[in-house]
Amino acid sequence: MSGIELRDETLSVDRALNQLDELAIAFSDILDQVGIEHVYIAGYVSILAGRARSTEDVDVLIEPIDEATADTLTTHLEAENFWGPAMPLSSLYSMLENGDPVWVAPTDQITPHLEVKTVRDEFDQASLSQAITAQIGSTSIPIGPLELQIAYKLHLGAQKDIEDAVHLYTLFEETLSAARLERWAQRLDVEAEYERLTQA
Amino acid sequence: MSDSLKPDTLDAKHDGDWQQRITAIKRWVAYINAEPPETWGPQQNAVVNGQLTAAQHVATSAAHQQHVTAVAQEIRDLQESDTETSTVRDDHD
Repeated sequence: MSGIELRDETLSVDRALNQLDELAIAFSDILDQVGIEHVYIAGYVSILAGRARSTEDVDVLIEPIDEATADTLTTHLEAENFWGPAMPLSSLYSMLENGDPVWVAPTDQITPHLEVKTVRDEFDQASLSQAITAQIGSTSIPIGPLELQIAYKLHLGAQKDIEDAVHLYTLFEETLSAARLERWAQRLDVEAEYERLTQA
Repeated sequence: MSDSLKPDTLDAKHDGDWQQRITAIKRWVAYINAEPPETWGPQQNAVVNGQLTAAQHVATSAAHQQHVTAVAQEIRDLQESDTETSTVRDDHD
């Protein structure tokens, strides 16, 4: 049973797509067309893995891009009927360059939207470089390694974040790498929270 | 009670609520593990899509949503700052 399996660095999800999945898959297709490396992280990963909650934003990290690539991305997005609900897509490059997140959504839609950020620190970089594959339906998207997702959720510490960590840990306890989890927990200074998680 | 003006009963209530939330999450994971995706998937998607549909009907602006997020973060930072101050004060008591 289940329909969710983590094996060989691949998360397989065998349920019907929801609105968040459709948005993530459509955007991932466009990023692939432009050749931009990317990875989905945070709450969406927990929801993809069966967590029964929703979110207004789907967080996606992308590699740093130059202005020409940003322009190409904007052209592709507009051709596929996406817009920037918070700022025009024409300001995509300057916003990313400034370290600001960029909202992207199907035209005239605000919720849900993608929240696009450029990798900034070692944790973002690790999410990107150590991404695993999520197979959902007939398609696949890259997601951050679950061990880092769990430790980072403990680090963020809001109730929904810790609940996401509990969900992922409880569901994949037997297939997660304890060594990697411990290393990220140590790096993010959440060893006590991790200890508590393993005993919950 | 600590230096905080928050009654101990609220802390106990919070702890109880927290434990119930963890129990609920573990119960949902057990359900996912026990049932086929045709059973739990539609239920999960009803939560995901239902909340989004409700939000879409309200149609708040992007500026409003950004304001909500920013103020919530400020309040959270304030709470964390208060906690740190309280801890330092307790250390000196």
